Amino acid sequence: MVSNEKTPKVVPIRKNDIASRKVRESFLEGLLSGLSWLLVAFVALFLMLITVRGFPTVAANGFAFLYTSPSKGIDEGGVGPAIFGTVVLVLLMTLIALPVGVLTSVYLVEYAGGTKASRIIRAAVNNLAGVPSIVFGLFGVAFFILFVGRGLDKLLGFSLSNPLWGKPAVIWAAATMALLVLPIVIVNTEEALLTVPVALREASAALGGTKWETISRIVLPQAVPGILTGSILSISRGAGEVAPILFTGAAFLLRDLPTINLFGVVPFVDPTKQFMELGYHIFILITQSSDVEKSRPAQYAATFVLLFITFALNFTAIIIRSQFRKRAIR
Amino acid sequence: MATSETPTSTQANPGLRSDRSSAKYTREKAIEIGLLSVATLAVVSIALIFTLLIYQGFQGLKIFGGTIELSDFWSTTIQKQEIVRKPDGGVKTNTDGSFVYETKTETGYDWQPTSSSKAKYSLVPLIIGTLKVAVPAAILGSLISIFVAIFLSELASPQVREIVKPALELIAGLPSVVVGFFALVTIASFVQWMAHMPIIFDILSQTPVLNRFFFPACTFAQEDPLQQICLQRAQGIGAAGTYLNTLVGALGMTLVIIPVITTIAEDALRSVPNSIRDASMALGASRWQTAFTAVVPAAVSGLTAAVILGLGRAIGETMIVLLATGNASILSPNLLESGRAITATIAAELGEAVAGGDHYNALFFIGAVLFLFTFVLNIIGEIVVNNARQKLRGGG
Repeated sequence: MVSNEKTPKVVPIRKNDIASRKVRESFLEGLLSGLSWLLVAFVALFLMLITVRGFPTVAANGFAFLYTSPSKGIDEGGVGPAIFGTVVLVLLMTLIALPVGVLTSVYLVEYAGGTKASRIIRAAVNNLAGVPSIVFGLFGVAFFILFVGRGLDKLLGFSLSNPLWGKPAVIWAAATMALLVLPIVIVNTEEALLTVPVALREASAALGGTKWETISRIVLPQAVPGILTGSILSISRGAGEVAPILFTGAAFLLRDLPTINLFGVVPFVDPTKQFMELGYHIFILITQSSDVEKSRPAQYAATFVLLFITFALNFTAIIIRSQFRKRAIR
Repeated sequence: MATSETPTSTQANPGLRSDRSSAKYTREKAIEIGLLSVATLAVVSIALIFTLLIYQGFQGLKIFGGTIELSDFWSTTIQKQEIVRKPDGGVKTNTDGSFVYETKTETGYDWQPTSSSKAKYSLVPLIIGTLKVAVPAAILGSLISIFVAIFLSELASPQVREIVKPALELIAGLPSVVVGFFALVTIASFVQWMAHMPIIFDILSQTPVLNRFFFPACTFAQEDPLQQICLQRAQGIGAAGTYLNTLVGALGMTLVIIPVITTIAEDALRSVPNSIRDASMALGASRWQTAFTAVVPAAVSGLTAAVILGLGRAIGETMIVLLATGNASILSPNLLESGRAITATIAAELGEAVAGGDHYNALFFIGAVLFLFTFVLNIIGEIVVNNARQKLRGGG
């Protein structure tokens, strides 16, 4: 390792020095790799803890926990409505965030290469990613519910005492959450768009395709896996966040699902209703069940369900992305 | 969108993209403008968030028609009528037998927005609560993360990376309410168990400076002789710990910011050009010497940015502090005592505050303060990252 040929000025390295250096280095190596493995071990232990404590409750009575409603306040019963509410929330959120996010990244990548506009938009997106989640909650209350919602009520003639839109509702929770996950969608889509080879764009242009034709028929289809990754990651994030929906629509306990029967028969999501949500339900179980110690099994079980959902989503996203990256490199 | 420019010779071939009067061109232009307007939504929303917080927060101030003085957010001064007591402890009376009162002014740093006598809105305990969670978390988190990042980028074999990286991504994907739950049930017991081990308990409660910052909770069993000792010592220095405390929150928070810091730090280390590594190796340095004496110094600004962004994340996190820190707004340096962070305060109180009332406006004010905190940290982090990138690109 150390060269033997030295100029006379350099103090010759003694064997002892090398030995102590080796000891020091192997100590450091142990420390660093030990730290890293500690993280891995922690993840494994954590998953085991939640699974061991949570899974038996989930699996009891043929997985009744997954589809029954809470009973006896919230102390017993399942999380069926909470799972349904979470699904509704992330669906509405994706409907809002996905088009906005994808179109924004298309503009950033395809139209506004390095212009001032793109720099400003990028800075805004970066800052949006850094806004604390509870601030989104504040914004949701003040803007979506009190400003937009009440405004709609005034416009449509609903009274303040019996508002239709100007109250916490799943649509406002979804809109708030959409703002929170927008940067995730944008960053992932941008990455995907950038990996589409320029040659494809040039080929399309050479055949007479306009810019938009090139984007919509050549570039976007190529970027679908990246867009998918972004949406899955944002869904996982949206399913896990609680702070933004605390005041914008999540409810403690509801007898009805946030649905409406269109024409009296077709069940459909009612965006103006409140909803139960899994993360919020966990929070409520921890803090407000009548006997916190007694409802521990339910808490672990609900946590297990939430973790299972988010990890399954993240795992899918990671796999899609790695496949996509491999293809892109080729 | 008819163009005002004079038709050029390309007009001869209608339908070409350079033909500005064609329907195709108009459509393309319309699409571009549509995309631009969608893209500005991000800018509009961040601006809207900021103005709305400021606007609603300032509504409560006296200058804007509310009842809160700006200085109330620092401290509240109240005048109190108090019975004068004699040195022997008896009540001093006038000659006619009535009690003697004196007016005392008290300056308090309290957050008690629903107090019956006078609502108090001091931000001091909240900021202390926030920092007591975020700063230890940032310190511990950056220590771990930077070591892990150095390991991952400089020393780990690809196979090891394949295992550690997904583990980090899984931690990053943990919902914060789950981490909060974990902190509440597991980390809290762990911290208490540690602090109650007799040796550690003695060190924590008797070492002069340490006992100001880490005085444990007196939650031994009643018959345990340590309980009496603990209570005595707690009284002696006027500090007492609680089961849920800021250290528990900080440890939970560490978990959340480790993936954040590690990812950015690893990026910073990887962007150090290989020429620097090669030069160091050529001079006879080992892999380790290269990592610590050549690569880390070159990436130091990127690492700083990672720490700053991690701190920003820690300040903005809500559910962990709400669940794990106990949420009592007190002024105390003791990490083993409860604390109330800004985020937790908003989360716990917005539901009860009447829209448009003083309390509601005060919550928006602290929301604006929180936003500014994290905004400034993010901007600084971003600038440092960009500078580091440019410097390395120029130097490499």
